[in-house]
Amino acid sequence: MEGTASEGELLRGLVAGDSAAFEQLVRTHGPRMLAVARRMLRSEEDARDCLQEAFMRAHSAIEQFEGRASLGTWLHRIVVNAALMKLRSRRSKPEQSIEDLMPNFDADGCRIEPMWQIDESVETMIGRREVRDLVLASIGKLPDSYRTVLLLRDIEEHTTEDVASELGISAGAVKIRLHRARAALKKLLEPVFEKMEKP
Amino acid sequence: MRLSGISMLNCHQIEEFIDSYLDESLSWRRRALFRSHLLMCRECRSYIGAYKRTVALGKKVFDDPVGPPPDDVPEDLVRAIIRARDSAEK
Ligand SMILES: [Zn+2]
Repeated sequence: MEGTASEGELLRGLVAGDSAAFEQLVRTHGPRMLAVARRMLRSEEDARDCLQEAFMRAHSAIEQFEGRASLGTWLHRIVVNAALMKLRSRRSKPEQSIEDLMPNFDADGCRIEPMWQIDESVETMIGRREVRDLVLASIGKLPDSYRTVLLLRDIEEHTTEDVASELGISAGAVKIRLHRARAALKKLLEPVFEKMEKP
Repeated sequence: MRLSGISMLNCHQIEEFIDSYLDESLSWRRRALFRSHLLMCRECRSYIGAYKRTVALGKKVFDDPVGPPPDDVPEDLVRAIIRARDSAEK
């Protein structure tokens, strides 16, 4: 849905309860929303449920859509919230430990770290298929509670305070989880950073 | 950081300030301590370089215009959603 005229038309159909308009909504915005659900949720089944729940919520709330944001932005928020609800219902499951992916220090608190030589731009790196695949796979490997914070803060760009209230944890806990998620991701991405020989 | 005693913070201690350093929310004093550590510690400079690059790659991977097109919604799922909506209407 690109032009605002056709978006306005779609919206009028939706508010009138027109089923063809609803189908158009699903076909137009569903792909992007499913991509969001898939990256937030690990299982395909959860992603599908999430998309369906998001559209049901959109359907029942369409009259509250005020048109201040675009329909796409509004739906994006709905699917992110639906995914968060799903993650919350999963939270009691034990999670794998993130400890092995934390940075290393010696007994004196000195960092043990290779010298990286990163010459390529971010754009060049992400343009390479194997880098993009590794970044996606590595984000997917993070335990849910860390991946969720990373996605909400770095990708969805919610504020620390918003994430804290969305997840029902303190702002301090959000900051710690974000840092640990980024550090773990960095460890997982080390294969794409080039090592410099130590002089 | 190998020159112990010169800086007031060791690598382990600066770890928790990295995000605040990167988003420039450290106090003036902490920032000065952090920077003086970085000046002397190549391990932390290397680490932070890779860390910053990681954050940038994570942010870019989902909005790359040459990346894969958004996922198609499987037809059976489209139908299921429409059915669910229709039964909610009744
Ligand atoms: Zn250091």
